[in-house]
Amino acid sequence: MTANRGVTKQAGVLLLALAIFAAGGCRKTIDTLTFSEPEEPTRLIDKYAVPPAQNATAEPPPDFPRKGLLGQRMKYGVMSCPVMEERLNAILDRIEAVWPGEPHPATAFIIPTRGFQAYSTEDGGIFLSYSMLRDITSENEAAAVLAHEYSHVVLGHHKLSHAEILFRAVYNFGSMYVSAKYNLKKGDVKGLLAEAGANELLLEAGQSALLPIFSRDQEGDADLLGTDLMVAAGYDPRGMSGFLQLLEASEKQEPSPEAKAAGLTDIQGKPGKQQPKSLSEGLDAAVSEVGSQLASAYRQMSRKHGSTQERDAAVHAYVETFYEDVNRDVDNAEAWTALLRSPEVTREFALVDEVKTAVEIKQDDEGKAMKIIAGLKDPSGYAAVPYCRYTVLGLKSIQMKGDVFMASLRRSAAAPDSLLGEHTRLIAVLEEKSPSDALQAAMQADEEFGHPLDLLPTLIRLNKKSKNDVMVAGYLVKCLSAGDKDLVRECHAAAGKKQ
Amino acid sequence: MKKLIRACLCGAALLSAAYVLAGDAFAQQYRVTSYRYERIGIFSQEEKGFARVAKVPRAELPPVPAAVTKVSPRGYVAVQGSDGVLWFEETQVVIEPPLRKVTGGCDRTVISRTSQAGVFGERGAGENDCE
Repeated sequence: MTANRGVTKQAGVLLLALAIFAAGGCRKTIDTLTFSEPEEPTRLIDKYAVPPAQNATAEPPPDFPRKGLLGQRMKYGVMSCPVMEERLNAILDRIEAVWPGEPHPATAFIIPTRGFQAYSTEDGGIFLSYSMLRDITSENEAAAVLAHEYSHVVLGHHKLSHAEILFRAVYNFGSMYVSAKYNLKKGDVKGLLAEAGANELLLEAGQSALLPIFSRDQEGDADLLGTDLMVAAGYDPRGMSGFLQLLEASEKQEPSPEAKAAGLTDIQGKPGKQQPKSLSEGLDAAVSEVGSQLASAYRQMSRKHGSTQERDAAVHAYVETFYEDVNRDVDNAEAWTALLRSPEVTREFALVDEVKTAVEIKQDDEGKAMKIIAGLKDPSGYAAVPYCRYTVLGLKSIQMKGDVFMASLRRSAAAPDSLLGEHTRLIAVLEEKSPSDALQAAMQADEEFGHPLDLLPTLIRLNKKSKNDVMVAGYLVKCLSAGDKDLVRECHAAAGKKQ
Repeated sequence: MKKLIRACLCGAALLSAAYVLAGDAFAQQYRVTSYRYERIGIFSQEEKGFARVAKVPRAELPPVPAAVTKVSPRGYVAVQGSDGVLWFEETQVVIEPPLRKVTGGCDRTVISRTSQAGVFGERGAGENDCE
């Protein structure tokens, strides 16, 4: 009974969130997405392009994606491979030039990430994993992925992410509500856990069944508009199919969600996510008992409806409709292969490969990992790649003297392309010696990275050590408003409070 | 002199034959295992490249699996049809083993909570949720 009431409540909140979303600033996006199928065959480039003059009052997009790049510095940073970057941005320039709507500058970056990954940011940052660039076999396919990402940018698809944040917040506040109730009424464990399980399932429903339908439409639109743009820029439309088919092959190699969760460790080899405490364990058990089958059904539905195979079929049909007679034999495979085999690209990609291999084998064979690191031929080469600089310093730290290590930490944190991880590592080392120095470093990092959520527990802990109770309270409020239950738990722990 | 020319010609012929045979041997390890779409384009190999000559319903195409007889680096594969060689676009057929392989894999690395929360509004073509 308790569980049913909980489901109803949570469902009500979820529907309310949907209503707010539909009535809010994203309404136009929803209309566009819901009725994206045109009555008559129309190219998306004709449908979506708004002549610049009609949109003159809108704030012009930034020339350079500083915000997107800052976001990437909170992960692995970007690689430095000018030859490849120049080629990618030359392709992107051709694509930008044929977009008939409001001009939106974009810049492509290479990220030191394995797997078939690409993403864009609202401010025109397009980030492509080096291993995907290596798997791509022609400039046509590179143009396809760039045109796809650029389409997300010009179509304003990133605005929907705010709705996802809203859903996540609704879910997390629901979880916190259950958490608080659990602490108050320890007798009704089973009912409360069932309620908590229902909350998890509602998140699953919200994320896997409802939102991805919009996202899938967006993906479809980006595929088709991307096809328009790449063809207009003079590329072979087969590039989009080729890219999607490589993506399909990549997806077949992906590990299961369970394996992914188990594999989430940080580059020091420690567990990346905090292990569940008693309530979370209870939540997991409840999800397992109450609704794993339902959750699985949601996952299957979302995948079935949005498969890469279907995206490829849609692109094929689109090309057959609008571009049947376009030149389908734009041969740039050899040029792309030559680029991949160029000394600079080979060296840069191999460097990241070696560092990643060292990280992977460190737990099983530390000696071998250190040998790889010691064998890096060009010391200045890895220092220029933030991910490598951070990782190599982490691996070498045990062999370094304290003052040398500290100097290296300070140097890496002072670099203009420093990663958030480099700052948090410096803060952690400083905290052992001088909490006030650590607090100063934390506040600098907080400012530099635009007040990232990750730093909140550290700021709370360091302010508490410095007896700045007002600051502790302020950061705690900020932490609560972020609506992330794990973060809230960490913030409370940092403040020495019970939830 | 004539002997030398003859020897050169013979050598060139032998090399060409070896090249063709090696190319065929490379192609013949592959099979077209299915057709991706309802109608598949048939192409002819011409001097300047490939040109589409017809679009044929799947049911009228050679039964699969069909041995690949030639592979063009321009993105086309040939199979033997009842009336001769049929060239297909590589993207319109499923080939086993795959002609192009992906390295795949996932990074065992955590990402920042701020960027996970979507503050920077990510949306990926790959949608690879390794992270």
